[in-house]
Amino acid sequence: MAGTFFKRAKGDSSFKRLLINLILIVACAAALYPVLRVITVSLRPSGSVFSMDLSLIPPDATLASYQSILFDPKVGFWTWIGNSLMVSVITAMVALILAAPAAYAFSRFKFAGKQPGLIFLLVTQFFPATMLLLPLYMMLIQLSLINNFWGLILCYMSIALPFSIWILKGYFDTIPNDLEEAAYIDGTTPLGAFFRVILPLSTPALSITALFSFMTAWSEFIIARVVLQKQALFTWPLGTVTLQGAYYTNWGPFSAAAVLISIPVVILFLLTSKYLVSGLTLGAVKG
Amino acid sequence: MAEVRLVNLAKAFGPVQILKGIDLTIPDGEFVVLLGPSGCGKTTTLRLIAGLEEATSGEIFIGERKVNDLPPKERDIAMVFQSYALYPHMTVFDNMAFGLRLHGVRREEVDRRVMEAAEMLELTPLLARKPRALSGGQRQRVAVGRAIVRNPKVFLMDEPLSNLDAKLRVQTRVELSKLHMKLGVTTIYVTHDQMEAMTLGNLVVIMNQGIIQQMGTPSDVYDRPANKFVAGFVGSPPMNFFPALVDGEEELFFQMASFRLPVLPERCAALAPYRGKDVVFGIRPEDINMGGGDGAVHIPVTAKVDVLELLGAEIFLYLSSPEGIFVASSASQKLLSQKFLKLKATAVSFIARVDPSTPAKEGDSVQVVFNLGRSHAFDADSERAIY
Repeated sequence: MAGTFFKRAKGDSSFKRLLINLILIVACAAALYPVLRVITVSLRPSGSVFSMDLSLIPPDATLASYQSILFDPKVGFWTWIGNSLMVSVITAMVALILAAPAAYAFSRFKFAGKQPGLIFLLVTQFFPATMLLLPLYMMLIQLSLINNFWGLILCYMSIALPFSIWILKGYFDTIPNDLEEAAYIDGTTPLGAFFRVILPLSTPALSITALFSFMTAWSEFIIARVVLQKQALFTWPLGTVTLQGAYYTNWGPFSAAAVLISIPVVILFLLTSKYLVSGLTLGAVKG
Repeated sequence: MAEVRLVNLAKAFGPVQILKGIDLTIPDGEFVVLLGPSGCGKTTTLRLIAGLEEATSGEIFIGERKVNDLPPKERDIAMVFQSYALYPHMTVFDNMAFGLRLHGVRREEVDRRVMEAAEMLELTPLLARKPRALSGGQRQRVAVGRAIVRNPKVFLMDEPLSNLDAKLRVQTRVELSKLHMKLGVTTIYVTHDQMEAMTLGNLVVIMNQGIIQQMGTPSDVYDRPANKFVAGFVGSPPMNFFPALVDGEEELFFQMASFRLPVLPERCAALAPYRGKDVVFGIRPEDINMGGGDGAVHIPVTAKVDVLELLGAEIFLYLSSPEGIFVASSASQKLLSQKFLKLKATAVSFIARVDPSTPAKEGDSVQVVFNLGRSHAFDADSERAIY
């Protein structure tokens, strides 16, 4: 696909290429501008947060906001990050552990209810999380999981799992059956073929799934707001809200928190990006 | 090494019956080729032997052991897939060692066997590469290597050469033949390419519509086909078939739509019960020669050259004999079937494989002679060979 695109782009007229580049520049600017403004605000001294100056790095730039977020014991930034990391990592791992075998079954085996099951999973994605808030809350009360990380993880799982199953199923479908059959003949069981052949070949899809599940949990606010009420359990989206007062919001530390919080996600994305390119199965079959 | 025996083996996918109860014994150490058109059940047979499909009924024996209920890994077989099915995330070495490691073979032994196989298949410089860095021919050799390191009782090969280009295919065919002679392992090879079947197999099993049509040596199936299907499937270009009526009193003749050929005296006994009946006369393109014949046994047939294909060492002439002379004895005329009367009105097309020095051109009218000693006759209804 990409090859065809670039081939075609090469043959396009200069005007068309200019136009495409202009559109891309505008789109990038629209996406990046708010992020850059947040960085700018995080660097301003507390007195000039509302300055109309447009420079990216303000002339009186200071790391005071970062300092107060990172080292002020009253803020509790590290607690929020720790809680968010724990919830997000567990969500991503459990989603992978549950979604991979489920997706494999949907991809390879014939069983009653396979098609309706897949459609049901897709349908669950049509409902926004806010709509499920009340039933989820009532269920968690019944299970005594309010003010409990596992309650929150359970909610995130219900969002992440269907999507993960679909992504992984789609990927497993592209892996030729011959590979598993070759593994059976070489001496594995079906489970062995799954672990030794299918999973190692699925790193691109597993990375996407893990990243998606992590992101689902990392930046989620509404469900966390309902499930967690104890300050000690707050994840970072809840924690940063505590920086807003009823009459005054300290935008400098707030922006600094926003910048710091995006760092783990960027690192995660950079780590998984090399797996995001598909094509690992190249060379498996035919010439 | 082991004998492979299939007893009344059947396989159905839902309502579709793919194998209709086949019986086949593959002797120990033989190279047997399952040959047939697409959908004839040859790959299904192979997959049943491998344990990748479950038989609907019947029994499969490898050696003395009934293996119907055993998973593939316990059948002591190795398989080369049409797609090679190399593990893309493993190096060539790991691909070849994978099966050995799973069977708990010691590390030094794994190394020794893989190196030995790599040496034999000239894969040693490629051992550290991943499959995607290999050419089609190299991948094919790795797939074979993966099979031979295990020292299995039976090799199963599912059209392993079909993804190679023509030149490489011929080369690999010879290598596979040598490998079989060296290892002597019972090999079951599936193909739809008759050239591969004839050159590789000690025995060829021709299949069609889930039934074994004939099993024999390559020369058996070529020179003495059991039925019209085998006669038509083996050989390229295929055997020419002419609807014919067996005519005559003491001497017998094949009466075709537009010409008439004598039945050789030694064939008369076999054809006597067909006197006055429809049969199918068959002759291979190489048994049709240019020339005037001797006027007695080798009667010339006049035909028009529709198309001429020069292949270098030989020429294929696509001929048609015009409708016309129709001579039948009065006794036979009464017995003529409606089908035959209809055929009389149509020209018959056939192919001759002749010497490249033949001066014929497209559109020419030529005389050809059929080598009756190498002709065949088939029952028109059952299509079984009469001789």
